[in-house]
Amino acid sequence: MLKSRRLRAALWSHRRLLAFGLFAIMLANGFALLQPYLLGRGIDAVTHGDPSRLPLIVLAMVVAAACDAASRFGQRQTINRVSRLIENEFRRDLFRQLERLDQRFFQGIRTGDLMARATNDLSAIQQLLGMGLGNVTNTIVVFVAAVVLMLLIDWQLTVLSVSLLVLLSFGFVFLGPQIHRRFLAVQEEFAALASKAQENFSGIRVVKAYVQEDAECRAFAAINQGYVEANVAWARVNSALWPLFGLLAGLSAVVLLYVGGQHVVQHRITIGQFVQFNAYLILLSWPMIALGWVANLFQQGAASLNRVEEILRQAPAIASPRHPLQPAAVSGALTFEDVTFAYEGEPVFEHLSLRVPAGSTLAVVGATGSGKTTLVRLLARVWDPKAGRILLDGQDLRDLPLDFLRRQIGYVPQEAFLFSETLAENVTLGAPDAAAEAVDRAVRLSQLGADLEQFPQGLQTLVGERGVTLSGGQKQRTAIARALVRDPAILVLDDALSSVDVKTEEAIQEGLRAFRKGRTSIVIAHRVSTIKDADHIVVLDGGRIVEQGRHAELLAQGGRYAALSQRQHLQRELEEDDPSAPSRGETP
Amino acid sequence: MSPRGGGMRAALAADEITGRAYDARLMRRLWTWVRPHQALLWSGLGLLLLSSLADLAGPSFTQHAIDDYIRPGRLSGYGWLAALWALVLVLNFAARYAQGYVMNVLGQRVMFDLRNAIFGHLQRMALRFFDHTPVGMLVTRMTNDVDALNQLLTSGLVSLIGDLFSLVVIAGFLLLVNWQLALVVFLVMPIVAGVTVVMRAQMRETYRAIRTRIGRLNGFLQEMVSGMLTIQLFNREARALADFDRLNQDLLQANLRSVRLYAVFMPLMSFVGSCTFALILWIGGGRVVQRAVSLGTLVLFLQLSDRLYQPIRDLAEKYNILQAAMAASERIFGILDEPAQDVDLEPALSLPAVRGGIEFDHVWFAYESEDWVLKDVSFRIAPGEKVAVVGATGAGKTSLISLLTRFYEAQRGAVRVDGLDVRRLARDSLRRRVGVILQDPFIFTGSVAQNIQLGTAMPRSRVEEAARAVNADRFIRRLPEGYDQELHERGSELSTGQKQLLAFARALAFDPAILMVLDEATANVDVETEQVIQASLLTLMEGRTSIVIAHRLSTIRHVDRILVLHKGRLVEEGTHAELMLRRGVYARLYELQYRVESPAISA
Repeated sequence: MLKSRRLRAALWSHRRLLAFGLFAIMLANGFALLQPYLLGRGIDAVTHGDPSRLPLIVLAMVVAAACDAASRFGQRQTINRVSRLIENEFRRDLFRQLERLDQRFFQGIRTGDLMARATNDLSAIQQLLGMGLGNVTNTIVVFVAAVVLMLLIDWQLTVLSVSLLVLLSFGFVFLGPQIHRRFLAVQEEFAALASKAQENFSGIRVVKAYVQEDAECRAFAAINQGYVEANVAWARVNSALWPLFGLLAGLSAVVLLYVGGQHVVQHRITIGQFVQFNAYLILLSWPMIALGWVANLFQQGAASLNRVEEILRQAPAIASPRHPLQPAAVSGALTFEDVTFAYEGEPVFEHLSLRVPAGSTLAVVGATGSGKTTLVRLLARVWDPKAGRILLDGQDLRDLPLDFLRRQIGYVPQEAFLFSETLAENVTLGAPDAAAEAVDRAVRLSQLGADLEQFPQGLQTLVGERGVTLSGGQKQRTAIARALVRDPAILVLDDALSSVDVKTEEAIQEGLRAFRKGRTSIVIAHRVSTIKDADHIVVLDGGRIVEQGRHAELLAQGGRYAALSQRQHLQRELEEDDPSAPSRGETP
Repeated sequence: MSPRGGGMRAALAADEITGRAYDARLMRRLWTWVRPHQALLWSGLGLLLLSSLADLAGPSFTQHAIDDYIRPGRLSGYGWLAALWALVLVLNFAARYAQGYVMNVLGQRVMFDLRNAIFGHLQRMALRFFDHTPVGMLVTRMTNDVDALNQLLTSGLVSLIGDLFSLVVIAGFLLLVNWQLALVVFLVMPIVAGVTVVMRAQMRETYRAIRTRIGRLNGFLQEMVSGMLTIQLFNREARALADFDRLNQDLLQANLRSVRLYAVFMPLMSFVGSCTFALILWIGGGRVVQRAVSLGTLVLFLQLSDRLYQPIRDLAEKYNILQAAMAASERIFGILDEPAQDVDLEPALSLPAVRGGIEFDHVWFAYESEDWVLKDVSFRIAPGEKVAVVGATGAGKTSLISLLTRFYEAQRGAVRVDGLDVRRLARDSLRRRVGVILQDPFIFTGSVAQNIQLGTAMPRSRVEEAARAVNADRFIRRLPEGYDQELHERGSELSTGQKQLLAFARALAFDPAILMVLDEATANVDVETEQVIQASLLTLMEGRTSIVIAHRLSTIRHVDRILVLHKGRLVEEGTHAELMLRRGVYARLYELQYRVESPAISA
């Protein structure tokens, strides 16, 4: 745990608070240990029939208790505070790190896993710090001080009773891992139960359509049974923990009573000291339990810290160069130079070269998995090529500041991601300071305007669970507006109109025609009608450019593009001529 | 990204606890669930009372030791006293352990019953209910709310009784031993109770704030993680971080407030305890000197005074649990009280061997009140006939499936299968004969074979035969484990096309007489797969009465008749050629659909 440099640095940065807390612990224990002493003297005064000192002793007890309370306040306000502060700082670091990490990282980790680290693991670290920092120091201080005081009174009694008390620390050490392991099993069963319920409710139409209600109830009951069994297995160990503490503390009191009583009778200690001794034991029992508890938390906390640090340690594969170029303006000429790229193993591209002159429109077509999306994502440095270069106005993308590069690109993905904010905030996501006219224009061009009229608060309508649920087409239009409002030098439409109906698509295309003037555009599309006006068309197949040129040129080449276009044409004729003609499903 | 939006989200998402901590009506209802396991409850309570009494042993033995052995200096039989105490301790340990275990088992059994009941009840709910209720909320009812009730049983209610009992036992015992000193101890009780109540109220507020803020922060984080690429591509990092910081700071402030409250409360309580202690020593000490009270009694009071306050502090804490549990049980019983609508009329008719004739007779239907989706729709489909239903989005096509399977019921008119009103048929006999292929091919966690046969026992040969017939066999055999391949949630390892084929195989395996297909052109399916899907669909329709909600033209070519729905009304009916000639809605739709359907480029 303390091997973590990050944690050490965090602790060091709060050293004042921690030092103050340490001081408060010492002080508090000093006053706390005064109580049994005063009690003992009070009892002795009473047994000696000398009550005159009693008021003074009682007053001293109250004063000591007040000082103890004040110090404990100081201890909690420093040490426990530090644990919350460090948790807060770690959480911030984690978020900032997530913002810097690239897609390779996000694809390698499940969202649930990531969330667990940001929540459960962070709070395990916080708990350990909150419990650990205070309790470990406290236990050490109070144990050493109390045992010394007890030894001064009666060493035999001390050895006998304290040795039983020490066993308290082992309660958690022995049972803790067992309890924790069984608890994890409970959580696993819980997750299974929740996902079974979730799946059933989501798929209820299928369940009902196939009359599977009873079978589902049986399946659920089996999982439910597993959850119950895991819980009971946990209870079998967990129920023993606190009763065990009671037993051990009680037995050490029995030893004290038996041996201590004899020592009083033998006049080795006074009866006041006997009572005082008893009070020490009571004072010691909680810190001893807590010590074992902390030792147990330690393992879990260390594992959690490790999981959090795993993320914090990651070096982002995509980042601004150390000494970036500072280009002034961008014309938008793009060049792929001998680019090779692979996600893992099999390359998506090998030695791909392509030029997109500034201000021109490039269309990319190809089957699913031919690498279209990868191609445009390389442009925004979502990924970097394995070999070769991609140039913007003659500069390697990797030499440009990352934020500068991305600011030049208006990217509309196939699946638009909208945040649970207002539509306005979603549209101005990449241009928070955009003027109202710019927003208006983007909304108009993307044909989002018509949708806005249906919404209660127009652009101020909330999106998501607490607001309106948008259709696929509406999401895409919002994403288009989002890209346009950035006024980008390069516009990328990655199959961005797939959920938009034909009429709206035409309107959007029409609007974009003017917008595209003076900008470089890259359009990925399935429909031939969308792309035939492009300056340059590229047909991708298995990561290779198999054909390229203008629509007319490609048709003239008589290659794949022409064949596809031809096939579409034929099909149209067939279907228009003869209703009983074989369907596309049967033409080879 | 403004925390304002997030705030609304979290405030609504968090199940606010504001209700009463005790509701007799709910408790009576809860009792009906506990009653079958009441033997466990009584034995648990018995053990609890036993150990409350045993807890008095320590101070009592100490009192005796001091007064009868130590002060007089007579130690004969002293060893027996110690041994007896040790024995009580061991028995008390056993009682406490057994009590904790028994109560846990009780809680688990009750929860088991409750969860099964909720799940079973939800299976009988109509789809209308699921339309209105988010899945996440139902899962929460099954899990968190049921667990809150468990808390109530195992730690809330029982230890509440235990606390009350120890309070009474200790107070009574103190009065019995020495009533004057006991009154001194009781003097402090109102202070302890007062401080506790005030602090607990404050803490409750703080806890609520913390929970709300954690929810808000995590909601934000989750969304950011999912949308991180968008954040990065749109250079939104700094603003997102600023928003995150605000939420993070809000949480920190709430956490620090709880730290501060504890920093005041815990020391304050121990200070009050120490003062009581000092007070007893002062007054009791004086009485000892006057020989009105024995020294052992004084020590007994010193030991027990603190224990008297423990139940009071705990009682305040139990209030939270009670309140949460009451709110949870309100929600759970709320669900159980929803009338189950997907049930049969009594007596329900069982469909004999179905020939497959379908009739819609002046059917009016709305999902919501008067928002008619179907308006006075009438048509007949002969057994074995294949019919396509076309229409623009929102024309009411899908609701035909809903009505024929009795997922929903028509407000007016009747839907008949072989002349029998579907409302009078037993659901299972109807649904076993009407196969439905939905737009979203839902895949369950489990093996490929299980996804085809579902919970129904079926020979493997029939499963494989069905898969072969719809061309699913080929891809299934390529999976490492073939038909036994375990599929993850929603079949994430399968492509859309493969999932579609699996759903076809499922439909075929159940061999329905009537088939209803929602034939939505699936996005992102390459042409080859598309062709396979097409061919499989035709196999599936072979020899059955089929209604295809068609989006693909190619499907329409293979039907006997086309029904055209427009704004909820049946406007045209006939073959493709007839309808094209008419130059009506269908002809226009055809024009539009065809353009959408121009094939994807593929190499």
